[in-house]
Amino acid sequence: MKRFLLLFLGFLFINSNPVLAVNPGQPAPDFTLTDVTGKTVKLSDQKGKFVVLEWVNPDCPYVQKHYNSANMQNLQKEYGGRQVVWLTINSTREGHSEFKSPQQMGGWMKEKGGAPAATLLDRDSKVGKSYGAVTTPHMYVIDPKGSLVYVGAIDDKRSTNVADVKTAKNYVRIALEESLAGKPVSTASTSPYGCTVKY
Amino acid sequence: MVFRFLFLSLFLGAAAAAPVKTDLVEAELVAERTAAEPGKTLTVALRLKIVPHWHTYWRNPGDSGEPTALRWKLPAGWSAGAIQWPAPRRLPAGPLMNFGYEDEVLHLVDIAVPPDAAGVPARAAGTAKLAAHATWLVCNPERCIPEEGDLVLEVPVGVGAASEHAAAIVRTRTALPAKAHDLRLSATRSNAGVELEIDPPPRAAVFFPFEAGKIHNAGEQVYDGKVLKIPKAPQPVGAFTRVAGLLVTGPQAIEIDVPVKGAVTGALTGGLSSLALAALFAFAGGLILNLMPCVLPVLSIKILGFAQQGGTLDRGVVLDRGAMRRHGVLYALGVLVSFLAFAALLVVLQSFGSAIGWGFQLQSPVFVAMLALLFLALALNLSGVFEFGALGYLPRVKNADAEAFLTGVLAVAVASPCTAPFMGAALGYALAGGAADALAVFTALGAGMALPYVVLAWNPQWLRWLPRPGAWMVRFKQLLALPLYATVVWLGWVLALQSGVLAGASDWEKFTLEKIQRYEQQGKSVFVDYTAAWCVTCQVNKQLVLSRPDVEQALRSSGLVLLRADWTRRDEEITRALAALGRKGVPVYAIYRPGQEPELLPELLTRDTVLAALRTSKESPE
Repeated sequence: MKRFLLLFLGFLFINSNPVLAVNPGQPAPDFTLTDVTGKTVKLSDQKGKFVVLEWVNPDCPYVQKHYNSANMQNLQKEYGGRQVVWLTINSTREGHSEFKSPQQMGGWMKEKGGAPAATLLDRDSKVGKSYGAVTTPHMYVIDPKGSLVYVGAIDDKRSTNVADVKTAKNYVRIALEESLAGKPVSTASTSPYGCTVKY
Repeated sequence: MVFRFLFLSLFLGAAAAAPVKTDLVEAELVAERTAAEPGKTLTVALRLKIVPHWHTYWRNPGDSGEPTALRWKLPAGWSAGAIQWPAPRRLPAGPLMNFGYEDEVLHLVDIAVPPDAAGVPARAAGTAKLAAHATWLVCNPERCIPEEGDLVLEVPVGVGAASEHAAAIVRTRTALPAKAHDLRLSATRSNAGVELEIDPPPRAAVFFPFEAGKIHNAGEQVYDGKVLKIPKAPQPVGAFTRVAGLLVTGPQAIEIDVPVKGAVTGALTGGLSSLALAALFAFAGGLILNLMPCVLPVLSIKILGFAQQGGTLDRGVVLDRGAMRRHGVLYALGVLVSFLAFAALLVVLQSFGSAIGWGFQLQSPVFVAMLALLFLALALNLSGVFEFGALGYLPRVKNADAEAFLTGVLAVAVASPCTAPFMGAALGYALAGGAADALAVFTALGAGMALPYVVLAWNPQWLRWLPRPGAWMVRFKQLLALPLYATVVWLGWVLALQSGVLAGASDWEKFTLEKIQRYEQQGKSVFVDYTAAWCVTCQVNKQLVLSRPDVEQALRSSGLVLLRADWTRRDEEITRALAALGRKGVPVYAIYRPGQEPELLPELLTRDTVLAALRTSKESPE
């Protein structure tokens, strides 16, 4: 019996993920970033609320799909109104041709009519890498205790076609609705799609 | 040569196409031959010429990107196959990795030309217009541009010759990943991912997965000349149970699909993660087998014999305690030997490459017919129509020991139509693993099945609450015959289906792998009922759950495409589809949603689980 238990525990250990990865069920790595207006935002200050992290790059056609269709802005407004803290993060490395200054980034968000709680610049890409963000958009949902409940794509239509937004299954919306209703998230991880984050 | 030249000059310029040019890509449809011959296949390629430092994408684009896609508009009766993807390159983008093509790539598509195409004689000027809307994403490490174009290729219908593009197309086709290979591959789970052993070892090896969310795309794949270490995804989507994709060994590429030993297979509990757990499930499954309608009547008779404390009457012979215990052990031995023989047979057949699974013996009409006769004999015996020993040809008293052993064998034989819950996952695990794993799991299964009998043989006093043997036992036996008759009727029905006397009527579509792909491409979700007439659990689920009016209604209005994969007869394609789900037997209920891991429903369905699964699907308006 003891041997069996040891064997069982051994398998549990082998099957667990290394700490490097950030996956549903794990604590969200804390960070402090400055937003486009110069305000500092600390993730751990948001405890007690649901948080959405959205990786963004205005030059990416996949991001443009979700902003030109107003899909992203509508989500930001809708869930912002329901006490969800929406943080949009640009991890484009400073020096990359697509890097945006705080003024450029803030101007773009304003022009698009976006309404995240904050638009953050991750100039040295550290936060993006700590979350394992690979695409723009790449979406993360964090519960009030600070654990990740969703990691992956915004929806299931892997295209740059604006028309696809209407028929797509929006994983972030589903994860938020289920979480807000106190239910477990049915689809907690999906493969993200989009442009590479410009590290 | 002169002839060929004449032919070429006759048709050159006849197959006309206008390339679509952007700043980064020149896209064009080119055909292998100068004309489309009715009744034959014409290979057409989407040729992308890409400016230096930019790339387009493979079917799995890696960390970002999008595969090139074609939407065909062909004359009536013509049809286009899927894109035949050449092996991609690893294209690093900072710390991330993409899989795609640089410089120039040909995407071959086979177009079936109908026998009555255009109906024009070979020399007349009839042409067919092959049109495709192509979409591709072209990127460099800095940025990405989605592009598209309407491409048209006008081809004469008739007998043609090799076109000016034939050489490039043939070269591309020759270099396409081979579907067959003679490598021996075995994959083992490790801490960091999966280790793929390749025998005989090639000089180089790189793996490209078909599915996203399995491997760490940018992670280094270390090949030591024998074993390729493939790092697992840092953010996995679904379990990494199969190494399915391309293995590129220098200039050659092959398609591989290797089960990962020790991998988590999809199951009711979310998967069995270890041999110990698989054995535990098999043991529980074995215990439950005793209660199945095909086994219970046979065993009940033997167990009734224990009713008298201290000794029992077995066909007129009073057995003492020692003899009873010996019989118990011999029975257990009979069960174990049968299961192990069965396991050994499975392992051997598998090593010869047969695609088989649990219940495969029931795919043989001869086996089903024999089983039906066996059940009929047992049932007649129980109803008292005629009397014979459970295995009547045996001299009775002397070989009572042999009979105990053979009862064990018989119990396994009659149990084979009843796949108890849990067993599917355990057997899937056993067969996906090595021979030793399979034997261990089948041993556990046998032990579970034999245990209750042995326990009662040891402690007959536990049955003291039973009334003393008498007339009630005759009545009871007659009662027990009923499920056996039912089994005979059911096996007869299976036999009728197998021989094609009865056609299985249903409004579900017939399953093919290609259909799943096609519907997924159309963005539709698909519900597949993997079933077989001989699978009791399948029939129970069908009658009690899937055929309920409210469930039927929900299925119809769910927007899911309903496919039924009938495994009553041998079917390689279904066996492969099951293997892809980590299963070796039926029932399996799977929902395939575009771009997602298939969702597996439990083997024992309830109305609520089905309705809940359908609700999740409905949230995506299709």
